[in-house]
Amino acid sequence: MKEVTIKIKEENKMKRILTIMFFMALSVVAMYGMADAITGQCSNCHTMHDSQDGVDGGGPNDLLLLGSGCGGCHTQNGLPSAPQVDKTSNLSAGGSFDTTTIATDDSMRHDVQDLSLTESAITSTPGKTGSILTVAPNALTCAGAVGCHGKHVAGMGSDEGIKGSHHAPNATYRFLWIGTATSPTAVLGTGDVDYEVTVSDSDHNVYSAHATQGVSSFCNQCHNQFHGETETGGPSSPWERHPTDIALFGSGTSWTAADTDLEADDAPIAMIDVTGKTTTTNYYSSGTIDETNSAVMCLSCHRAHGTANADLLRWSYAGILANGVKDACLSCHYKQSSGVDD
Amino acid sequence: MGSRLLKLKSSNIFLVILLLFVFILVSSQAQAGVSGTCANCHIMHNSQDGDAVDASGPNEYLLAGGAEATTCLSCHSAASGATWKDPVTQAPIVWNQSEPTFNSQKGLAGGNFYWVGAGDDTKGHNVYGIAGVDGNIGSNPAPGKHTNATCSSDSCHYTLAQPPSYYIFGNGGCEGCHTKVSHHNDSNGWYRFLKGHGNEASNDYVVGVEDDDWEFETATDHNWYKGTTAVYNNGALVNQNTITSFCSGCHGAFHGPLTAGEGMGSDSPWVRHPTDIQLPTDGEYAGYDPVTNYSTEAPVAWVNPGTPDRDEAIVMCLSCHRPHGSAYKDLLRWDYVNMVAGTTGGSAGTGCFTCHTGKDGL
Repeated sequence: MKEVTIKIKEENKMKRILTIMFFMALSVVAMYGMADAITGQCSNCHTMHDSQDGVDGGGPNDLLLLGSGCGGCHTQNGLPSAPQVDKTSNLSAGGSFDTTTIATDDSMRHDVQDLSLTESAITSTPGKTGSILTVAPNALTCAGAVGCHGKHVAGMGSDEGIKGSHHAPNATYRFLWIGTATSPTAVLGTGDVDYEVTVSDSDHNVYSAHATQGVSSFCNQCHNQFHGETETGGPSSPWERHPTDIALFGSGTSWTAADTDLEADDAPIAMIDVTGKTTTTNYYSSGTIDETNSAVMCLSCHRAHGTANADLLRWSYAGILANGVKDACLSCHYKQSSGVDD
Repeated sequence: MGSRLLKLKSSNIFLVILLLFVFILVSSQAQAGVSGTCANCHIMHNSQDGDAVDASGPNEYLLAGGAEATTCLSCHSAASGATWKDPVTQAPIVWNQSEPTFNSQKGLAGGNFYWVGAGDDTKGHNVYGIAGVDGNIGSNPAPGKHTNATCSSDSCHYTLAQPPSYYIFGNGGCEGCHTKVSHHNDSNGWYRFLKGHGNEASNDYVVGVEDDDWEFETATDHNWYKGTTAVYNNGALVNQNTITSFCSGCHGAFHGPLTAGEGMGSDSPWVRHPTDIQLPTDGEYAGYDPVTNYSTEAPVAWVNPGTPDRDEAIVMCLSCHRPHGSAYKDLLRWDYVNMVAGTTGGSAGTGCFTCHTGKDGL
């Protein structure tokens, strides 16, 4: 009887140890490479009844938010503590939706309904044939079924799509999910704490070029003709469309890392494996480039929200001149440059 | 066979213990009329030895103390912060004129009027005899007054701070909420005498199980509130009998389907904090099981208060608020400003995070 009791105790002890180890491992895996949950006073963002001193607060708004929709917090008229997506200076990594001085033309931004932006030049999503998500003209939202952030379950608007994301620690990069399932695939990566308002080779976002969880796989949900071997012309040059999620260096490529002039702000790269890569890891400067991991991605050239250049480019494509300094396109395409770093 | 008999006997014993437990529980918390000598509360002629017992009397119901409409306070208030029950009448104290010290929550289940009585209008219902008209709200109606509530400005839907003669129904102050005080007959089932406008036969009253010490202590027992998952707007007390449907009588825009900017919505994403909905059993809410770990800081109601079931745990107004008043703004059970998401600091696991277990940093 005593033996049985001891055995049960040992089994229970082992179960507890295994449980603790499992959750420790799970938490490490979960925390690694993802953003933290939001912190701060609940009252910074929420109002329980949209009422103060017997007077309505102007809402009520979904999710009991002080402001209406995504723009209620994430614009210059919103919460100062929230990243603002319509700034005119000190822009963050995603760029800006501002139409006054930055993305002044339809071609320079994603026109999202939530910010009352409309698209007049195009009538269907570029490269959308056979895409996972189908967005009707002028139907794009910040989040939800026809949005970028949050879940993409059919019928979900921005508020329902993003619900819970801000409080979910380490779930996915910038609340970006792949797929339309209720439990979709998380995008890997680590967000810079100030969204790259300050950015350098050792202060930047960590993007992923994972085959199914990379940021280009995310963009592929709408712009699928611009991604993948079938659409871009095979696994190697000659390409038919500019490739994404392909290795820059190493076997099968003709480039040497030392000859490029990669920069986190100008021509960022993604990591095929983000393991061990943090927002302060310098994998841009000469001599620090991780040749086995570096890959080109959509965001190497584009900013997701908007820029001052056509096609949401990080630079003016019309201004890129062959035999120029290693800048913009020529940061990678050094063979077409003058050989001089910018 | 022997083993089977043993099992049957064990189950029978368990059943008996369970029944006894339920009996004891119900007995100790059953509603009962007030007890004690009549003279504790009543004076027949407001006269003793040739002098008036109450110089401002005589009073309605032959009550010994207090002027009109503040009569309640003669038994239900105390100068000392240490008194939770009137030593003569055994009445629960709802207004201590010094800061309550008799328990950690600084008041009984309904809270305490101390703070609003001391001048902070944000921390209590402004009730006649305790505090004047709310300086922040002024002549505005009660926060969240639904447009369906058509009672005029001379009703308790606007203020509880005016003298009784001001009111269309003649009862304001304490009786604005405790509309049918019935100290000698609790058999009517009116939880804490909370009732609507209807006559005594009307079904417009709150149902619940009253803790016999009004939650002076909460370690051994507590109130059991009634809730529902039924969808309703204000004016539904007669059908729902829940504490939330009672509050909705004056604050109806904070509850019910969303119509013309009033209401909380019908499902997530809510536009106002929902009440009289099931406390979800999944997601972060699975972390709070009030059946096994009931929090008197963030209590829930039940579809059947006498037989609480996790699937029938209900979010209610009193999950967050104390109706009389509290040490915190908006009569909250905790300081909303101190509720900080994403941290393991002092607010983690408390207040809002009792239910929203996934939003602190634990």
